[in-house]
Amino acid sequence: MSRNGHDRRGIVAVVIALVVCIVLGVMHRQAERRHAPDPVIGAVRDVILMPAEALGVRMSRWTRTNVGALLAGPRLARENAALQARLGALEVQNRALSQESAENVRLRALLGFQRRSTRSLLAAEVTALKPTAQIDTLVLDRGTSSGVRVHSVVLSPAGTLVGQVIGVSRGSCVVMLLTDVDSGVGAEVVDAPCGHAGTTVVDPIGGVGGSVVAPETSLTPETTAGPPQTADVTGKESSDRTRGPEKTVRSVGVCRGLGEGQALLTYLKVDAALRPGDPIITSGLGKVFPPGIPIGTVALVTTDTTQSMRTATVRLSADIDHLDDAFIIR
Amino acid sequence: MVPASRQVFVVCLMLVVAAVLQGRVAHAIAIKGAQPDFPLVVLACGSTLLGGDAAVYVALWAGLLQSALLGMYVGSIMTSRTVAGAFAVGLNQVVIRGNVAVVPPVVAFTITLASELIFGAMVPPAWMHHARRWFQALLGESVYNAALAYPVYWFMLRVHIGAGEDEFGPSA
Repeated sequence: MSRNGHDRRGIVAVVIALVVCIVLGVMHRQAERRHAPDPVIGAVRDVILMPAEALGVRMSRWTRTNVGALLAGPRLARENAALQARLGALEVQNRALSQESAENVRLRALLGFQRRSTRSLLAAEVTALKPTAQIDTLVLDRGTSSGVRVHSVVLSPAGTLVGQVIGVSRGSCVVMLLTDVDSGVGAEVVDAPCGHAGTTVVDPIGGVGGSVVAPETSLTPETTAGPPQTADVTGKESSDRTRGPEKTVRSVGVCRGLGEGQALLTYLKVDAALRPGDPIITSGLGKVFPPGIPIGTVALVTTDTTQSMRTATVRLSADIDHLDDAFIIR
Repeated sequence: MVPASRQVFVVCLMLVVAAVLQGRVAHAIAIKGAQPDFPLVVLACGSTLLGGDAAVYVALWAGLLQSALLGMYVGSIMTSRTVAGAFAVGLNQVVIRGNVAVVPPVVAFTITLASELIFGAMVPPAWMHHARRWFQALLGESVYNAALAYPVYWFMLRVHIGAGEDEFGPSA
């Protein structure tokens, strides 16, 4: 074929490709507006990427287990000894807590509290993490078939906030991390419980925390607790903002992502008494995140040049760079 | 001579592998916020070797895969990758044609810059609030990709990508 023929074919290809880009871009935009799955992008992710990524996850875990263990033998032995000791201590602590828990249930029943509403958590595997330096997202292997929706909230295995679902298909979902520049979460700074800065403050979700459970496991706490109008998973009901007498809100702001694994707490009152180490939790004001989920702690507080607002650098609780599993609040 | 359709298939398959690596490995080997973009490296080398309209369609495929991986800015990512693929063909044909030693890093570096700048122009909020860091990361990514381009380019030559000129037009 002549050079002109090749050039013409090239130009036609570019035009066709750009038209496809525009059409798919518009389709995605419309799906986003409707909070519905994008059929094309979702199908590409489910059919092409997810099987390949699942294979990648298996291979990386096999390598870590079989090859990594050989290299890290002495360290693992030390860790094992330390964990055995810790296990013994925790067993003693667990017995004491079980007794107190049983007593708590009995007392709450006596007080006639309503049973806490059940919220199920879905365990998911991280198949892709931060594919580009500019956009902080991750891909989980759960989708609409497991009840995941756009704006579903994602937590780390320790129960700390990771982000929210922004795109979902049948078998997978894309999560915008709270460190992404587009991310904004209503947050508040509260008093550290018993002077232990940086620990989990409140647990309105119920049953978060602890270890990873099997997929599809529903964590529904047996205990009765909580105020009569706690927020549901989408935060539609957040009128009751009292979550126990032990929590004092110091200041309310917005936790914004900065990219590169960092976040800032902005719009804080200039007279807010903040100290490094103060816990930061979700406020529930944004109608997406339920209140009370731990985000992190205050690292550094600065006041802007106009002396009208304070900003705090956030030390995130979730180790986002090393996430292998996550929980989705359905 | 390897049939043209098989060459396109191999590059598309390499793009899938690159997308998986991007999700599993790229952030773990980031240096000061700069991480490689494996699909872009494969795209740069693949487009250069394939040439013609096949390179554009491969670029479209690369954009589709990366959009599926990111789940946001779908149109912008696809457009930036498509234009970058077409740019790679033009760059190789017009500017640095035939010089194998220079082609891989130069094309990968330029394509990364072009692609991310097009993306940045289409989505200003992605970088406006931290422009300096964004440009630093972009430069780092471009250098990273240029370094990775040699092995990818070599592998593609080994599997005879770009071997047939009569169907896809001139290649490197």
